[in-house]
Formats: sequence, structure tokens, C-alpha cells
Amino acid sequence: MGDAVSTSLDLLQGTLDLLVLKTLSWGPAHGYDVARWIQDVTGDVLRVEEGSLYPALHRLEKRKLLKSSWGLSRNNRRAKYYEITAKGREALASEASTWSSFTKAVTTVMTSADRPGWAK
Amino acid sequence: MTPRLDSRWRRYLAFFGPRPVRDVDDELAFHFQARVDEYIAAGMDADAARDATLERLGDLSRYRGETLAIEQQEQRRRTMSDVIHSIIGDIRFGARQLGRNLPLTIAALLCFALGVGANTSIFSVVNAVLFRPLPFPDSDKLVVVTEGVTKLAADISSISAPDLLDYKETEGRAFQTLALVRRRDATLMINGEAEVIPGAALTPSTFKVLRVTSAVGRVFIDADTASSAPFVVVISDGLWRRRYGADRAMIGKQITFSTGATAEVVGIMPAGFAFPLPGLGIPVADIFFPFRFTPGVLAQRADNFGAVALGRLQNGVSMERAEAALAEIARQMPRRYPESWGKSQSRGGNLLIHVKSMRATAIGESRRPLLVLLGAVGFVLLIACINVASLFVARASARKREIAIRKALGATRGRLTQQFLAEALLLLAAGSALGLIAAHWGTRALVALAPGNFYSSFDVSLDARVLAFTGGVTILTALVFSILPGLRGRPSDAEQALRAERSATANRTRQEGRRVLIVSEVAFALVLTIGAGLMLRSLARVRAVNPGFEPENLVTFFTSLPAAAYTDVDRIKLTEQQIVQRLREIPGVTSASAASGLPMQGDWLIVFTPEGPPQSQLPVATNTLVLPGYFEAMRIPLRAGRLFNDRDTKSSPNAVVINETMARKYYGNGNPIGRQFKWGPRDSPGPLSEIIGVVADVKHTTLDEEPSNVVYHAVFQQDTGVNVSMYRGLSYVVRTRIAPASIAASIRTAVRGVDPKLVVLNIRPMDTIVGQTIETRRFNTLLLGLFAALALSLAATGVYGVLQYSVIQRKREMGIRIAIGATSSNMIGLIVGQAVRLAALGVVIGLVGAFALTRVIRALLFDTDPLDGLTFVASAAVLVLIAVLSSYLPARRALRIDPIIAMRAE
Repeated sequence: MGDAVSTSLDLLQGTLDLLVLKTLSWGPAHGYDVARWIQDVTGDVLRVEEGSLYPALHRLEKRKLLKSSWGLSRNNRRAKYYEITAKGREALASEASTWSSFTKAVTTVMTSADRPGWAK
Repeated sequence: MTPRLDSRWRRYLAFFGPRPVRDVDDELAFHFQARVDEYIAAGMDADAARDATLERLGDLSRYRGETLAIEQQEQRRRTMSDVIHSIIGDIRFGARQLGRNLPLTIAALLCFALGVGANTSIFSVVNAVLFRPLPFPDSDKLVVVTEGVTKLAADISSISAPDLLDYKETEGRAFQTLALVRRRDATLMINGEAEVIPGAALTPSTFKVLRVTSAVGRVFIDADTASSAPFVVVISDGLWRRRYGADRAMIGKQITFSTGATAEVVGIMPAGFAFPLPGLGIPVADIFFPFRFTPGVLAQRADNFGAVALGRLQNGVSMERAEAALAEIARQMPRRYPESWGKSQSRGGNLLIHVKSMRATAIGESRRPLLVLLGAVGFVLLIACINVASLFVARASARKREIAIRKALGATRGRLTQQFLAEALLLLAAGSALGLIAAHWGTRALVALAPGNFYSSFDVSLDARVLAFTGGVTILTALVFSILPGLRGRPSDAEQALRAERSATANRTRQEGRRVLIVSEVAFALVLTIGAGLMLRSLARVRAVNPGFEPENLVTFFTSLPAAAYTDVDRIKLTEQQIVQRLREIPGVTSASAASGLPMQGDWLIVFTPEGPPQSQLPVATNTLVLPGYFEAMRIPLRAGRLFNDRDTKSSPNAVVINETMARKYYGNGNPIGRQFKWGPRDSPGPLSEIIGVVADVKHTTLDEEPSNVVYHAVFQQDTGVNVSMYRGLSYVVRTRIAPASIAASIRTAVRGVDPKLVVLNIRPMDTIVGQTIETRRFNTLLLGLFAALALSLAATGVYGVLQYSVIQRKREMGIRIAIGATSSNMIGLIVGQAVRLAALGVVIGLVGAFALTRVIRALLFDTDPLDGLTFVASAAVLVLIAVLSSYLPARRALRIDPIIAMRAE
């Protein structure tokens, strides 16, 4: 296990939404699938409290960025599947670009070699 | 939304909509279980897996709470449009499901459309005749006024025309207006051809009574009835279109009658107008004349009852009050007219007056047959619905898996019911729409084909009641069918169905259902078949009734000697004799003669006085004036005495021939030959006649009538006066050895040979005329037979469908049987035997039902017992036979089952 960045419950709600939207942009899935994919892709580095996915999913659905339907899973159990909508894809694109700018800015600050004027 | 609305939506959604708490829990539980399973698969033990999962999931109660809050908030915002969306979704889904099994859908559609169409057609007519008012404004105020004399031995439902003028005194008080109508057919010359047009003479006040007016031109005014006024007529829309090509310039044109007279057309009635009403005793007329109170008419007070009096009641006046007002005048009649009513009172008793609603009179005898037909067609609908039900049930069984899956996915019972209701409504609404279209044509056909145009005087059109009836039937059926699949089965069945396992109990209940379907269809079809069979038997018996003469090979026609050319009475008699002579000379003719009226063509009633003490009731008889040779030509048997011959002329003693019934009733003791007879009441100045012969009874109006008195007078012994008009036109009868059709031309030649200007009308074979008198009976029997045939075919289809499906369902069982050595005859015996057993049960139930129900049609039957054994047995045999035939194809299918495949299929 690599360096686990333990995420607290205060993980920015927006960031979680972004992760969910991106995951679902690959295709419809249920909550467990989303958790597993994030786990697999990040090598379990990003420990998301899996329960918190559900308020996020429901909120996104309320905002019409996702739509849901009930189906039967591979082993015939009742599961709720979420699918990204066109509006959701737009939101994803816009959020991703914001995130990109944000991370660029943070990285710029973190890697800057320029000493500020007030430093001793 | 107000809080109250909110909670109502909540309750509706709770029944029909999703359940948030359960859904969220299911969602979280799924995730939980998936994680646990993953850890266990990786090697952890159950407890450790659970702990790890709980840790991974985080503060579950908080997340659950948050999620629930979001969902419940969302639910509060659900609006009407969501509900509509879900309903539309259900309808689309339903349409897809129906489309998936198109043959089944179409079969159900057709069955239902048939049932609805037939029912709506009949109900439209029933509605029009029995429930709706007549097609005149304010028609509940329309009444018919009839006179009667207490001692009269016959029921006369008309009045003596001149009396109307006296009754008109009540206008403005008890009545708004009174009017008089009398039958008056006319022979028009159209394009050189003579045609008899049904017609009526009306007083101009008739139009005020009915509150109708012409579509083109005008109606009659009082000036038209003056004796010096020019002859005018009003014609019907039908006649105008049929015969005059809807000529726009018709008003003001002259039309010609066969007598050579002409009249000006002053008005054309609108298209929906149908008057008089057949129920009043006068057929629907195409041509109308103004009724003139000529001196001749006025002289026939208290003697000639041939007109029908109509009235429109004053607002707020009841029929009883109007009747009392008229009765007051009636009481004064003997004082006003001592010569006529005064004498009548001393002979026949007081003049009675009766006021009856026009609607009741118009309905006449048709209420019971209509209700019977409605009941019959209701049975057809029941059978059709049972067919549709069995189709639905079969489909529901096939979709059990789908239902179970949807239940597993959280569909509530209400949701499923809504789904199936939408599907059922879709199918049945389509069927109803189809049925309504069919009913449109069906109703028109009924009205057009009904004998005597009986229904055309009623307003038979689609109205709210009919649509409500159809809609109600549809919705009721849909509700019943959608509840069935949705509510069947408890939740645990879902699991079983998912595994495609059929438990023994589930199989048995399905079998029960199928059996009930077959048994009930057979029972209903049997009742209907028995009813139709009884009517058929009755019809056959009526047709077999001896009319008292021989109508086969007998041709009749009518010709009248116009008054203008034939003024001398003796010349009239001579000409008629010449015509008969010429007819006898036609090759192939065995005998010919003529009479003032023939059987089945209406009768002329007279009062008479038999020899002996005064009767308590005034005797009435049908009177016919005949030429010599009449009885021989008609082959009416002579019972005593002799028939008229050439020596019975003006100079020989007055002679009459009477029939058996009169002889028995009024000359009972001993031989009536040689005894006296008087035409007219006891103290009338007419001469006495001697009875010279007694002939067999003859049916005069219909084959199923009771015997009545008949008297025959010789034309040659008649005087001038009113009676000339009775024998100016005679109906001639010609008995031939050759086919009636080929003799028409020879008849025309013979008549024209005597006088080229004479017009020969209505050349018809006598047995056609006899047949027409039972037209209504035949029509009703035909309809009932049609419904029975419909019911039988629907039942056959139903039995076939159910058995076919049953064979498919029981494939495994069949396979086993074949594998263990059942032969093909065993298999066929199994299936057919099953059908026969079920049919037999249905027959028993149907017989019980028939016992109870057939007494309802007793009034419609002639000489047939409602519990006629032969009909019952034959109908039962037919049903069993149909069950056997319907089971044949499914039985063949059972034979083709490959046992190995069948046993593996489950």
C-alpha cells in the first residue's frame, strides 16, 4: 500500500461530485461500481468513505446531471444504476476545466522558486 | 402546494410511487453486501469482512440520513406532470407489450369490438325507442285521442273524423292544438310509370301539433282545405330525392296521379321527418294531402272510424285533465247529433274518449322484443369478454416472470395495477372505438332493414347515453382484467417465478381458471342458442299455419276504374266482369276472380246485426265484397250451403256468405243457412240479407291472429252510394299453373284489352304477401339467430384458445404420457374428453339458466312452449358438438409433442 492520503469527511463536496461524474462518464454503473473503480484506478490511494458517495449521487441526480433506474445486478440483486446525462457531461467538462485551472494554480504556488518580498 | 394537497399527493405516491426509505436502504444494503462478498472471496471470514466493510463505508447512519433527506425533499416536489409522465410511460410500455404478441392482441381486439359493436347497435335502437323522446319539440306533450263505444265488440283505436271539429272546442284550454291524420295512399305517375306511394291526409293543424315545418316551400294552411281550393300536396325529402332527383325547382310543379288528376307541390319536408308513426297504425308517408271535411266525411259521424286524432297538450295540463275536458264534450254528442250519436248511444252505449301519450302508442308492441334482443346481445358481450379475459390471463401467465422482476425492482402493487390498467384500457379502448364504428353501420342497417320502417320514426343516433353505456362497459371490463394479474400472487411468488419454477398449486389454480372460463362460455352460449331455437320453432309454426286459402300459385294485382270515366255503377260491374273473363282466358290460368280486399291486406270492419235477440255487445265483422268465383279461385273451402254465382244480382234476394266463426258465435244452434243477416246496427234502414253459405275461416291480418267474424257480400248486389268507392277498385286474384313471374305481362295485356287506360298495380304472388305479415317476427328471429351464431363462434374460439394454451402448458405432462406409451387415441381422448366434460357441465348450468329465462320470451312465441324439449336437447347437442370440434386441433397438437423435448423443456 502506498502513501494513503486519508481523506476526511470534509473532502470538498465538489471534488467528490467531480470524481463521480468522471467515473460515470465511462458508462452507467451503480454506487459500488463507482467506489471500486476509484479504488482501482487510484490504487486505493484515494480512500473515499464509500457511504458518502450516496448523498453525492442523489444530489447529482436531483440536479439532473445524472438519471437513475433500477435494475438487476449480475447476481440478480436489486441495484440502482446511475447514468450521466448530457447536462452532466457539460457540467463535467466545465468542472474539470475549473479543477485543472485550480490545480495548476496550486501547483504553481507549491513549486514556485520566487521568494516573496516579505520572506526573511 | 398547500400542506393538505401535499399529504394527498403523498398518499397517492405512496401507493403508486416509489418508496424512498426502502429504496435507499436497498441501495446501501446492496453496496454493503457487495463489499462483504468481495472480502470473503479474498479470504476473510464473515465477521472480519463485515467490520472492514463498515469501516470502509464510514458514518453510515449520517450518510443514510443525508440521502433520505434529499430523496424526501425531492418527492415533495413531484408534480402533476410527473404523474402524467408515468401514465404516458405506462401507456407506451403497454403498447409495446401488446405489439409483442400481435396475433393475440388482434384476436382480443376483434372479440371485444364484435361484442361492443353488436351491443351498441341494439342499445342505440333500444335507447331511441324506449328512452328518448320522439323527434318533435316538446314531445312529451303529444297525445293520441281515441274514441270507443262501450258496447262495441272490438277495439278501435281511432276516431270518427267529424268529431274532431267538436273536440276542437278545447283548444286554448286543455289543448294547444288538435289535428287529424288519415291514411291515404296515392298512385303517382312518375316518368310514365305508376307507383303506389304511401301517403296521409292531415289537417293543417298537424304541423302545429308536431311543431314542424317544411324544409322548402310551405306546409298546409287552412285555405288549402276549402272545397274550391286547388289540389296541393307536400312531399317527403325521401320521395323528392328518390323520384324527382332532388329537383330544386320542385315547388310549384304539378304531379300527376294515375286517375289523371294533378296537384301542385307546395312543400318538401326536411330529411329527418318521418310521419305518421307505424305504431299509430298508419305507415310512414311520403306524400301528404290536406284533410278536407267534405259533406261526405261529415255524414259519416259515428260510423266511420278511420282517422287518428293527435293533440298537443296545453302547458301544465295533464292527460287526465285533457281527457276529462274531452269527455265532457263526448257526453254532449248524442244531444248535438241525435241522428248519429244519439242513435249510437241507444244501441251501443256511451261514447268514450281516451287520451294516450303518443310515445306509448308509437312504441306499440316493440318493447318486449327489443328488451329480449338487448338481453341476447348482452350475452354475446359476456362471452366476448370472457374470451378477452382468457387471452389476458394466458398472457399474464406468460409474463409472470416479468411481473416478478418488476416486483423485485421495487414496483409497488399499485404501480403494477396502473401498468396493467393502462395496457387493458389501451386494448379495450381500441376495441371500443372499432366497435363504435361498426355500430354506426350496424344501427343504420337495423333501421333500414326493420320491417315497416318501424324504427325510422324514432331518433336513432349516437347520444350521450349510448356512449356512456359503451364507455362504462369498456372501463368495467378493463378494471376487472387489470386487477387480476397485478394482484395475483404474494411477494414470495416473485422468487419462485424468477426461478421459472411452477409449483403444483399454482398449476392447479390456473387449471381451475381455465375450466371456469370454458364452462361459463358454454352456459351462456347455450341459453342464447335455446332462445334462438325457440324463436325459430315459433316462426316455423307460424309459417305452417293454414291461412284458410291456398296462396301458392296465386297472383294478385289491383286496378281501379277511375271515377271520371266510369260514372255508371252498372258499367263498373260489367267492366270488372269483363276483366275477370279475360283473365280466365289466359293460357295457364285455372281460375280468376276479384274482391274489395284480400286477406293480409288490411280489413274493413262493419257493425252487423245477426238474427235473434239483441246482443250485449255490438257485433263487428270484416266485410268483403266479392265477384263470383272468388272462393273457388282462392280455394277457400265451403262448409255449408252454396257460394255466390252469376244469378246473385240486384234482382235476386240479398245474399251473404259468412265464415265458420261467425256461424258458431251468432248462429250457434242449428244451420245458419237461410237465416237473416243485417249489415249495420239493428235499427238502421238497410235491407236484410239471407245467409246462403258458410265458408272456412281465413286469416285476415296476420297468421297468428285469433279467429274473427267475416262476412262476404256480392259486388253485383251492391247499390250506389258510398259503397261504390269500395268496389271501384278491386284486388284481382289469378290462379295459374305456370310461374307467377311469367304471367305478369299477360295480365297487363288482358286488362288493357278491356280498357287501355287502366293501370295495373302491384302484381305480386300471394305467398309473398302472406310472408310479409310475419316480417317482424322473421326479422326478430333472424337477429336472435345471428346473435346465437355469434355466441357459438365466440364460444368455439374461446374453447379452442383455452385448450390450445392448456396443451402447451401441460407439455411436460403430455410428454410423459407419450413416453410411457399412451397411444394417439388415448391422447385425443384425453383432450377431447376434457372438453366434453367441461362442456357438459356448462350445458347443465346453461339448461338451468334457460329454464329460468325462457319464460321471458313467452309473449313472443307462437304455439311454442318456452320449455320445448326438442329445442333444449338439440341446442345442448350443438354445444357439445362444438366443444368436440374446437378441441380437435389442440388434440392434434398434443399428438405432435416430442416427449423428450417436452420433458427437458422444464
